[in-house]
Amino acid sequence: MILVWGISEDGPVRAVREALAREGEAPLMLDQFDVAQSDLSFAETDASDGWLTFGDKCIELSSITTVYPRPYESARVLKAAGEVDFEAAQHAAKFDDTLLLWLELTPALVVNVPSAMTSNGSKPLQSAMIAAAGFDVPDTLLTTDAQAAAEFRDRHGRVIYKSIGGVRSRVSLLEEQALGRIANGASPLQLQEYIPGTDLRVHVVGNEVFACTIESEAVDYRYPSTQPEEPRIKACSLPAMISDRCIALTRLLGLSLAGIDLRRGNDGRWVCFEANPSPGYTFYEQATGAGITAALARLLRSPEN
Amino acid sequence: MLLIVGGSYDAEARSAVAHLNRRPGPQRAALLDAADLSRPGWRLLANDPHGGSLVAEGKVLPVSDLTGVLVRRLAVYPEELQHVHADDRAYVASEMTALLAWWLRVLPVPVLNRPAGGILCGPGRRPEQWRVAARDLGFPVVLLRREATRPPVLPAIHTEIVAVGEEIVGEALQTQADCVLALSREANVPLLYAGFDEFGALVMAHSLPRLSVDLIEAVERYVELNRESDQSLAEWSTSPTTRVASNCVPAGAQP
Repeated sequence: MILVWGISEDGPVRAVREALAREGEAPLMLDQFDVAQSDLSFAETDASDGWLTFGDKCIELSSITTVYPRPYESARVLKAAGEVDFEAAQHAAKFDDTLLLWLELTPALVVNVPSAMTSNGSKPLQSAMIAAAGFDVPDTLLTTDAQAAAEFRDRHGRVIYKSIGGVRSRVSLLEEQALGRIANGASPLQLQEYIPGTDLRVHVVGNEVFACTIESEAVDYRYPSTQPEEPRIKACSLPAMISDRCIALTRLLGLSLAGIDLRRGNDGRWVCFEANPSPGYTFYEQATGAGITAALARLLRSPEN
Repeated sequence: MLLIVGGSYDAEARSAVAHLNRRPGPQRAALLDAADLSRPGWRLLANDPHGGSLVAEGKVLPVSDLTGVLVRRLAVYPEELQHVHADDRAYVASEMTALLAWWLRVLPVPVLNRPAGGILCGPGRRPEQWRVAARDLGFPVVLLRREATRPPVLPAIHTEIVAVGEEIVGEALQTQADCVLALSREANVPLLYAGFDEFGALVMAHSLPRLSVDLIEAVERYVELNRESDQSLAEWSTSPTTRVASNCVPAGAQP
């Protein structure tokens, strides 16, 4: 039995449920909007020994073979739903905590295990793992020092800055104004050499690889502000060596599903920026028609493979 | 120099630094607190973990001065950043945590313990996971049932010990010492606290023990013994232990 945990209308969650339904498989949908009616109990020493209840369902944990978790923080989901009761928020937090622990202990295949997703919380840490998987990574400086930042920019010509942690931030070219912020700054800053080239997004699902190119005049195509900056996404194929490297990176990170950001530099380098352990892949799939959802459904249906 | 990554509120860390620096000779220890992460002087190149500079106790230090690091925090918290505008504290705390999560992981000196599992003082396991690991290693553990609606009630801790490398700090039965040493080896962490109930079963383990004089001296010995042993990246050359799918669809591009 397949368990899906998240918000039922979330893009990837909805897509994979529909794909499974087309195959005659009805996954259990644990919707976070129903967290107030959810409960979980299991033995620490045997995570299969227990039950999960939600709505009018009571499920033996031993029957769950695979899990696709894509949760938001349940207390925030409740808030979004207009539920402001303190006890409900407390229950939601406890339920999340217990389910996250179960995901670490269960023998079921979890796509992806929460602890394996933590590398994405530190971009330079993940970058070190990316380098260990064989990819080029951009020259990077972590600093609180305006002079060091200026020297780094002078060495590379064009330099971008972006958040160090998991908070999504817009990638921007380093201008004088940002240098001034460092001088006054309270926060360390991450600077990277700017690598001109073509952006690619690669989704790895088990051993299957789906790649697309993204053309845009923006430094960060996720934040277009003009028509030429609008991303134009096209399916593409990868050299086998790069494809294999993407699979190796996904495995090194302990993941079964990843969205990997690459750039094919104008100088021929294959540079990897990061790997998203919970990718919103439907954005790319809608543009390319690639079968990412179908691959994920296959993976969830065949955990023994 | 031993760097203690703690907080200005951490009295045990401050005492430990003072204890080590009471000895004659050059400065032997320094405390890195959250405010240091805002001060100019951090210069770290991602491809050169041996080089660059850091800031501790308000002073800029070369990374090459460090002989070891003791990590005394799970994360940097917004509440520590009173020098930062209130609207920015959560973001800056997250950035500082992310910086340390990388740097302490790649630093080529002994680090007790390196960040892992989403916390700065790894490996980021929960008490339940330590108990399961101990049971799998053949040691007695307190058996509990986890329920979302009711927190587990833990028995009282009767015996407390800490593993520092292969050394045990504290008094315990041999089986208890064997248990904490086996757990620390299995998790590949040099520093591990373990608490046992009156019957000798493991109740709790974690990586943030109280910092006694005996413990800080054991940490110092560990650092001295392991100066030449760089384990910073070793784990990435091995397969992850997490279960991942290994379906047999041929690798290759699928446009």
